[in-house]
Amino acid sequence: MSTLLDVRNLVTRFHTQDGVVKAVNGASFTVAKGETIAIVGESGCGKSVTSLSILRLIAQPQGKIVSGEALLDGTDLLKLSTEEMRKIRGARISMIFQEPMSSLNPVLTIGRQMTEQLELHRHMGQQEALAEAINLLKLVGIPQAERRVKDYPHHFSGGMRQRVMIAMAISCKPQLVIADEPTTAVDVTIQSQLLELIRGITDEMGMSLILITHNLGVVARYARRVYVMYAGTVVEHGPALSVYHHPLHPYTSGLLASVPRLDEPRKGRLAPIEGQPPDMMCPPVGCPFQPRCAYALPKCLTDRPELQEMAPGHFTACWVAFSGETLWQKT
Amino acid sequence: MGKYVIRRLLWMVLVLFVVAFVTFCLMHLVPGGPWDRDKALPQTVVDNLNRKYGLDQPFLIQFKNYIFNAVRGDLGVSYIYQDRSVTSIIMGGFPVSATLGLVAFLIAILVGVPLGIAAAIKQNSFVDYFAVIFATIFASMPNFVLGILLMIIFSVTLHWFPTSGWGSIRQIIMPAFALAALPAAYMARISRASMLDVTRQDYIRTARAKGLTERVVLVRHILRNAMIPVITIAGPELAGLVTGSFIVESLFSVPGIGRLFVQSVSQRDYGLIMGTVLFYAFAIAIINLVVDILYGMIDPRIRYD
Repeated sequence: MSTLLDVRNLVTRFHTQDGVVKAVNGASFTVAKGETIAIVGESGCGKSVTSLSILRLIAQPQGKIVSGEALLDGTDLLKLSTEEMRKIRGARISMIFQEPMSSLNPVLTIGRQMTEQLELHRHMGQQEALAEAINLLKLVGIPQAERRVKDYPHHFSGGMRQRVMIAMAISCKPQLVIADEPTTAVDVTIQSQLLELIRGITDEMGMSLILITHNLGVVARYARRVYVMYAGTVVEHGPALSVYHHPLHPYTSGLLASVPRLDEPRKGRLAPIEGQPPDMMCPPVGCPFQPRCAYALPKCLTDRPELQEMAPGHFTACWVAFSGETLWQKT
Repeated sequence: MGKYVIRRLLWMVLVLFVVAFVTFCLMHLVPGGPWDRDKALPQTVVDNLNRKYGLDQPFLIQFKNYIFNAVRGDLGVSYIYQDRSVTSIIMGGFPVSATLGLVAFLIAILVGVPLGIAAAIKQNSFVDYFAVIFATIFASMPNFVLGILLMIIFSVTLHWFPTSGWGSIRQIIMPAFALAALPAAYMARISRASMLDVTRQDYIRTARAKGLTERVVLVRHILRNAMIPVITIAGPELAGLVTGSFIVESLFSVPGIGRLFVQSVSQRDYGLIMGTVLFYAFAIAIINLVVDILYGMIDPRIRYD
């Protein structure tokens, strides 16, 4: 598979009144054409900022992409002019946001919010765009699409709005869809339906998909490869099943232990990862996870581990794992 | 929609009735009466006047008579300008106040809203600081101070406009600006805050993520949402402006209804007090109705039922 998106050493910072927040610190990852990858991590680990940085949509003027590259088919998105970047958004890379309740404009009809993009990127006329919007709504499973296209967002439930967001995201047949925690704000019962829908459509249309989530359970089912982010960098990545069954980083193992499981006997309380995510104004020296790590070696306090391939396609950045021990592994 | 308007109009009738009753009570509770003069009138004269105007009758009977007449369109006569009916006095002053108020309202909208929008678009720029300073100065300056300043600068020093009077465009300009300053400052502040608030919303990020141009994002997505709070305050502001201002009308000798209103209270002119209060309530009720209808046109989340 050829590479569609290649992000290298992305660094994004936010200049706030209290200081500089180092949200993303040298994150790298690749997405092949038609591939689904997942980016996993706790709140505040920089996964959303990473995806917004690729689209250059981080809040201005506080947010700033300091360095790095984001190559889409070889073109560095971070070096494009504002106008060139604008033509990529929605047309070649689109995004599904976390909050369906607030991500749609309350004073425009669903139809209008869909057609504006079709008119812009696919150069359709008004009638043609409306017909296409209705088709897309049908595709994402909205009943009575002909009628609902004239409705406003407040007429839709959260799950239905997220379906509209999905329809909007795929409407211009982009090469890459970024779904930023698309199911966090909806009912558990709807979550898997929405994920199936996103995965199904992107697969069928040959689009690449970046699924951003904090739920590793989701990852194993939908993504081929997974990147685990911590403190703005990738600490482990590899094939989804390999990472899921043989985590090579204590943080990944902690994430897995904190997910409730239905297929195993109930053992009492879930195991949280002790401690707080690091303060991103002054991230720890050495391994970023070291203050919360139960297995930390003296070396972890001073030297930052770089990603190393420990198994085929499976990389980790952990001194303990490098030494060949993975004490946290499930038996 | 039609049903909604009819229901609102019926409510308005009830509101006017309550306003009339409360005003009637307060008016009679206040010490003094329309016949008080520096030199007291003989008691027999006062008795005769009271009998002539029905003031000798029990309170509720007086109120009943007033309402019956008012429903037939007769608001009675002024107790001070004895030969003129209240309706003719109000209809003489209202067009003057309404003209002045509308001009002031237009100035406030045309200056305040674009200034607020420009300030929000160029946040922390020169335009923004100018707008904030403008809003602070005019929001804190009483209009009689501003009126006098305008007179000193444009009448006394530059001789551009006459200090007072009514009838020509040159006479409208200064009182209109004196009236418009505060609402303009207010509109600028609200527009700016509202724009900044909407710009931070998730759906604006969605709009940008679609690849829309900044101009489309601004016009189609930001402005329409940002104008909702502006319209909310523009309505009462308009009602306040067209019903006249005592201070500005007195200062510039404009023969409007605002002056009448305050004078009628101090003179205990019962007929004129009731007339102006009811007229004021009527005007505000109608303008609020229009604003609510406009509101529904701009914000689809508002429902009329």
